Amino acid sequence: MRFFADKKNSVWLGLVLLMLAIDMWVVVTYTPMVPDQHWAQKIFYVHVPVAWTAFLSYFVVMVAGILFLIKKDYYWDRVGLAAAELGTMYTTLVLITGPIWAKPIWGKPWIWEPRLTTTLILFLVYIGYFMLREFGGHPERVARYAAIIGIVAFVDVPIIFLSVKFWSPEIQSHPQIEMVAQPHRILIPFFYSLITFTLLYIIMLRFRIHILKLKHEEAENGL
Amino acid sequence: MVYNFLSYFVTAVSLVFLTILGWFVYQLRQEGRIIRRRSNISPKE
Repeated sequence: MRFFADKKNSVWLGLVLLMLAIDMWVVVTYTPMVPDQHWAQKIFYVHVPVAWTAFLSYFVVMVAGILFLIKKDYYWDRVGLAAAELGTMYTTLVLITGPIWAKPIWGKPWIWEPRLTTTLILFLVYIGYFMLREFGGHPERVARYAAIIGIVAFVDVPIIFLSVKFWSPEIQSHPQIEMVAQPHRILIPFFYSLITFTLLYIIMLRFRIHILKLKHEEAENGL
Repeated sequence: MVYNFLSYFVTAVSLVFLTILGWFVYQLRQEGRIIRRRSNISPKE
């Protein structure tokens, strides 16, 4: 059965598309222009929710990894793989939209400062994860090792979050501003964007798990 | 300068949404291929 033949899924996607359209309209027309950054600052409303979605996805990889190791149920292996794929896609978008924003503001697209470097490390760890998935050999062993990598790799996520706090301020390029101190015209669209991207992520994850299940059934039946 | 900043914004937003759109198209095609194989109908290439 096709995933979007289920009315619940197609309604969810339709709702998310509507929310995304409203999100972009609000970002363009309602959010204030920040002096010196103008339109470039508005990348923030996409860049940060995309980063949040990537980290949420890696959290799902970790939880799925733990559940796979406990239950030995391959459903959790598929959940972990689907979340790892999406997490890496979103991390790639973070690593591209970040430099697009940084270029006009910092004058250069990349600076080797803690948050950027730790995000790049996370991305590279997941490149290793997919190499293991592809070339690891026996499927049972690959699933087990992938679960362990997914659990260990998540350690980097809180490091990325806290990197602006525990490395010395001299080497920081990210602003250390409390989000709650922002005006409502920035804060409300920002949280709306976070919710919209989270809902988009949930439907993407469920769709990918559905396809991995179809592939698994196909492989089992020798189709 | 403002127009220059606008181009950065448009580039970043377009990149995000085109990537997500591409992802959906790829998944739908994969799903279609698997379902066609199951139904034993050869895909029209």
